[in-house]
Amino acid sequence: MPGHDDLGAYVLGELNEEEDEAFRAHLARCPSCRNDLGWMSALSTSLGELGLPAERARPPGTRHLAD
Amino acid sequence: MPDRKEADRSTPIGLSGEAGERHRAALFGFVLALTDHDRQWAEDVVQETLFRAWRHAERIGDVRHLRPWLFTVARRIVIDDRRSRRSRPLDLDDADAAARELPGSEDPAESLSAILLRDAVLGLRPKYRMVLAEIYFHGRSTTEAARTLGLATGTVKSRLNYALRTLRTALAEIGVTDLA
Repeated sequence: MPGHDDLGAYVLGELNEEEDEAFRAHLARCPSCRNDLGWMSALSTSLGELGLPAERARPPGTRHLAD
Repeated sequence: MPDRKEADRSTPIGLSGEAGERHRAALFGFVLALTDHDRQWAEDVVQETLFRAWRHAERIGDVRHLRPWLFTVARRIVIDDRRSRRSRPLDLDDADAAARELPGSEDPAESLSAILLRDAVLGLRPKYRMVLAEIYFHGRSTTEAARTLGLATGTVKSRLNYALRTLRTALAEIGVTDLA
């Protein structure tokens, strides 16, 4: 069952076809998730661009984003 | 090792085929809510967003950044539309300015908000920080992150949500609202 917990994965486009469709139906019924979708996307984009601090040293795979 | 092929990509392949259709449907639903269910306006915003995605494919890079990128750009287009409806038609200078503000086109020097975001991430408890690092830094899917961390995928998803919510709250407390 899709619920609030799938929002992050939905924002990342990681749900499979069935889950994605189910989550869109959930969104239509859930004002709180609709509200969170906007800021969560913006935050997710910022994090993707950041090249997060590594838990262990490793070259960032997203470095080309800032080129 | 980071996937080199990923870095060499010059087109957002996530926009084609079945996955592309799902992104498009998700984007349309998202935009429709922003345009007060004005379908024509939403269609226009979706078209413009997809057009920018093709033009700026190299900035999106990793296919996993595609959907949040699309949502973020679409939201900015709607905001710009509302602004220009109130004042004057969008001219070329505005369009150029909007293009410069696209995610991924920032000055390579780290902005203040990037520093604050990094600090906020470092302030998270390790179990949440590790999930973010797997997903955004190592570019792993939630499923791959779950495998790497030895967790259930559902746990990764809920930690991801919790981490994002906590970050937003932490940023809001120090007055940073432009990132989220």
